[in-house]
This record gives sequence, C-alpha cells and structure tokens, in this order.
Amino acid sequence: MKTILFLCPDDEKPSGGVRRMYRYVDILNEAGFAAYILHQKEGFRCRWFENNTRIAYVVEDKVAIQGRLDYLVLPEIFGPTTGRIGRGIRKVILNQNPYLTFRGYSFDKDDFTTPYLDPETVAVLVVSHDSEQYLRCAFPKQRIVRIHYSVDPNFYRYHAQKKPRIAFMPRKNPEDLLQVINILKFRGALKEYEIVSIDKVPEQQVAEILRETLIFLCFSHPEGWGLPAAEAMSSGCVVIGYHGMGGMEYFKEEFCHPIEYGDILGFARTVEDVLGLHRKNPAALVEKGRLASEFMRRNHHPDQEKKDLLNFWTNLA
Amino acid sequence: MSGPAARARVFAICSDFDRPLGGNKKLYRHVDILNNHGFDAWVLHEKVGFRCTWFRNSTRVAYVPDLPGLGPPDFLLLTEAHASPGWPIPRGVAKVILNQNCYYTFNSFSLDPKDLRTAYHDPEVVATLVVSDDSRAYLEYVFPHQRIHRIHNAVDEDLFTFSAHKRPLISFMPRKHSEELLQVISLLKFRGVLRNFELAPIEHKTEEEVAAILRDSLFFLNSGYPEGFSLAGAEAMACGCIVIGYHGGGGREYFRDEFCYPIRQGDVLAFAQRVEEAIGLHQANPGALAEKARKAADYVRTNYSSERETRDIVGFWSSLRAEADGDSTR
Repeated sequence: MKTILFLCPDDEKPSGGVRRMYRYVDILNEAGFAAYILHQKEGFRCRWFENNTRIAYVVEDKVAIQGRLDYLVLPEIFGPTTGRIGRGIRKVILNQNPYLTFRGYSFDKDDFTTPYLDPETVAVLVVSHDSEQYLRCAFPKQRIVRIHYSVDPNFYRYHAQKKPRIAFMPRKNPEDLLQVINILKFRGALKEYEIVSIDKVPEQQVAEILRETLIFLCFSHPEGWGLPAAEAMSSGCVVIGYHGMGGMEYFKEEFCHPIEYGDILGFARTVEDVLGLHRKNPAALVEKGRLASEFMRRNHHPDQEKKDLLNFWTNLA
Repeated sequence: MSGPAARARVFAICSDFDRPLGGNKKLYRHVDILNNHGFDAWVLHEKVGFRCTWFRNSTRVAYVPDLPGLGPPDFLLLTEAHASPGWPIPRGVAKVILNQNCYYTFNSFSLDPKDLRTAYHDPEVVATLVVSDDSRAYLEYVFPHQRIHRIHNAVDEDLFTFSAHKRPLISFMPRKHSEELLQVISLLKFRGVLRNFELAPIEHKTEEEVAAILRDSLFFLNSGYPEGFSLAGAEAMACGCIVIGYHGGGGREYFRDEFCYPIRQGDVLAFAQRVEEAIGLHQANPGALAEKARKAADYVRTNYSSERETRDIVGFWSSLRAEADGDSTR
C-alpha cells in the first residue's frame, strides 16, 4: 500500500485545482492507497465544498501519518524551489495548469533551479494534451503522464429546454468580457436575451443556471483544461469563446465556437451570428448543445479520470 | 507652410500623468503638428503648471482652470479614456475623440445591457480618430454611424534608425505580459537554447537608451496586447530587429510573415518554438534573417513616416475646419 501526501495551499478561496486534489485523495483512498491532503496549518480544511477527505498536517516540521511516506505530490504553483520541500522523498508534480509552471522563476538565463529536473521528481501529471506538449517541450527527459479531467454528467446535467439566456463568468479576463457585451449592446443585439453573470454562487446554483442557459461565453485564458466551458457543454449550452489552450482538444467546431484569444471583434461577430441562427432555426442550436453534452459524457466521464489516476499510481514503481 | 486662418482652437485633453505613456506623447505631438501647420492647438491639463517631462517637448499647454469659455468654433480633442460615461464632457463645443487603443474603449463602461450612455453617440462628437485599420474595423462595427478617420502613427526616424550590425541579443519589454515572457524565456533556457545569447529586458530606460538596445538586438520579443497600433514592434523593426511575438490587434497590418514571426496571442509554446527556430535559422543562414529584417525596416520607414503622420493629421483637421467654416457661412 503506497502512502501519498498531496501538498495543498491553506486557502479557503474556491479553486478548481484544490478541489481536484481533494477528489484525487478520495479516489485513491477508496482504491486502497493511503492518501492524504497535506495542509500546513493544523486544523485547516477547505470548507467551501462538502468533503470528508483525509487530511494530514505539518506539526513542528513533521507530518503525523501512519507508516512510511512513499510519495509527496506537489502542485505546479509553488515556484522554482519547490523541490527542496521534503528532501529524500520521491515526488510527483500535479501540474493542472502549465501556464503557471514558471511563476516565480527569474529572467536570469543561467538560473536552472526547478523541481522538474530534480532527481527526486519521478513524474509529472498533467490534465490535457496541450499541457503534455508544453511540459515535454520544457523538460523532454521528464516522465509526463496525462489524466483526463472529467465533468460529472449527473451534476452538470443535460437539459434541452433553454431560456433565451447568455451566461458568463466575469472573473476571467473581465476587460474582454466588458468589450464583447458592450459591442453587442450598442449594436442592439442583446435586446431579446437575458444576460446572467455567474459570480460567487454555490456550485449547485451554477449547475442550475447552466442547465437553462442557451449560450455560454467563455473568456478564460490560459487554462490547464478549462473546466467552466466543459461544464457548460455538459449542460447543453452552446459555448462561444476562448479555449484557453488547454481546452483546444474539446473546443470542436461541430458543437461550439472557438475564438482566437484576444479577437474581440471576432468574438462579438460570432455571438451576433449565433443569435441570428437562434432566431432563424432554434432547433439547430439546441442540437449543437446536445452534441457538446454527448461529447463530454463520452470523453470526459468521471470513470475515465478515475481509471487514469489509478493506472498511474498502480504502475508507479 | 501656410495653413487655414487661426480661428478655431483645438484643446487636447491629456491626463496629468508624468510617466512614460506612448499615448500622451502622441497627443503632444498631435498638438505640435497642428501648431506647425497654422492651427491654434493646446494640450489641456487639469493641474495648473503640469507638463509631461519624461520626453523632451515645448508643446503649448493650457490649463482647465484658466480656460476661457469654450464654444464654437473651438474643438475639444478627447482621448478614449475621456470618452467614458463617468467623465463629465463639457457641453456646447464640438468634440473629436482620439482613440489610440480601441480595446480600451469600454473601460469603465458597465455590463448592464440597458445602460447605453456613450460619447460615441453624442451629436457633439463630430469624428473619431484611430491609429490602425484594426481600430477602424472595431469602431465602425460598434458605432456604424460615427465618422471614423484613420491616421498613421509615425516611428521616430531620427531615433529608431536601422542597424545591420547585430549582437546575439534578445530584447523584450517585461512590463508587457511579464508572465508570458517569463514562460517563453524559461522554456528556451531549460531547452538550452539561450546559451550563446544575451537577454536585454528593456525597462526604466530613456527613449534614446531603448533605441540603442534595439539597434544592437538581433531579436525583439513583442509581448504587448491589446494594442491600438503596437508602436514597440514597429520601432524594433525600424531598428532592424527580427520581431517575434504578438501583433496585439493593432499591429496586425504590419506583422506580416515576410517581415517577422507573428504568434497567436497567448500561445506561449508556439512563441518559444518560433524563437528556437529563428535562432536555428540565424545559425544556419544569417543572411536570410538579415534580409527579412531589412525588408521590415523598409516597410516601417515607408508606411509609418513622420511625413505621413503629419499629412494625415493636418488633412483631417483641415477638412473638419473647412466643413465648420462652410456651416457657419451657410
């Protein structure tokens, strides 16, 4: 039985990455591993989502767990010196967004400090094809393994009856969002549509909003995989927007409308075209949403993610 | 050169901000060009005694508290920032908006679909000036009834001069999307590509120092977006750099494959890969790259000259003045 610690920031702010780590610990424990989330502050636990995940704490520089520690899992966000944590322990980096890999690094071309070249780092887990390519390019000798992120189709449930509603999340690239909405409103394109900003609402409510939403505008960039757009697709929304690089693999033109990052005019024009199509042939749009949802269910089911994760940990020598 | 009778005054409102900001410098230059061609033009600051000092100028400056009544036949020149709903635009005077970055047009607008306040629908706003074809397309799409006129920004040909003698130097401006530049540089260094190159981050430098670095640089990484025109990329081309990076929207018109290596915005991996390829090409066939750089410099010199900028600005204001004079004699 392998004992695995997932080093996790003590941050109560909602974060998809942290949520994922908790979930991976749960999956591993259910499968017979001894996995823990490792928090620094004694007693800390993320409470913004329901969980009962097994947690260990650093107390006086020691971690109180039963048995020998086999692996320490590091997130991608802790910078170039992360490798110094837990000397003597084998490490896996869980890189959920490669675009954060070099945060905290320097422009000094002779400074090669990085955990990715540390002999104690035995593998890097990534969550998209794009991430895989990025990290292979940076560290061609490192072992990179891809896990398929998933969306729960029972939670982000497909619904064919859509309201004439356009939804978005205003936290991601708000300047671009502001431009697209204003261009559309000054052109009079939004008159018959309800505009819904999804912000600071519980997950359950997000799912309910998406279920009845016709069009979801995605402004996220850069993304490891792009969970919000995937959740919107699972709910049957027609997604228009940025794939954030990580989402390139599922932003397929047969069921959504990818926009090149920063092409504000192209974004607004596409929304206007899609609204035109909706007025002319609403069924065609609903069908697009159905295809998107089906794609998500087929390719990004939680069973697949679980299988990928267990395969990796089982085969790790 | 003789211009129209100095009757109407043009007041160009400028933020009281004395740090390097290309837009403010261009505004001062706009006023200088008008004064050199028979117009009566002023930069207008709020704070009495304020003047931008980070670049050399002796531009005519007026101050809001000292300003005698504005009214016909005067013109007020607003920046895109002053054309936002929160800014109290004086009434009773004709206005022109100088929109130097269309992507800032809606800064401080609201997401409320019913809030339709905008200077671009104000009947006193007689025209909007833009600095690229990209900006023109953007504003014509949003405000199809607004009169949009494009002027060509100039690259200072006395400062940003061509040099064929390059050092193995890669320069960039870390203040523009530093996190993306850091990724590009890190990807390259961990791949061992930068061994024979020096890096030159351009920050806190005078214009003369910037020009000197660019003249020496073999490569310039352009990381700015969104841009009304992307002057930095054009200045680097004028100095004979091989430019790799983002056109930022506004630079699309001169970021051509024959002159440089355009990268899709945000595609950090492709950015690093393109730099690696260009370095490889430089090692294999330095002449081909030098030819590309020379073509780029020629293009910039021909299309973004001071002479053309002056012609555009004077041409626009002359026709506006002629229309205003025509109206008043009717």
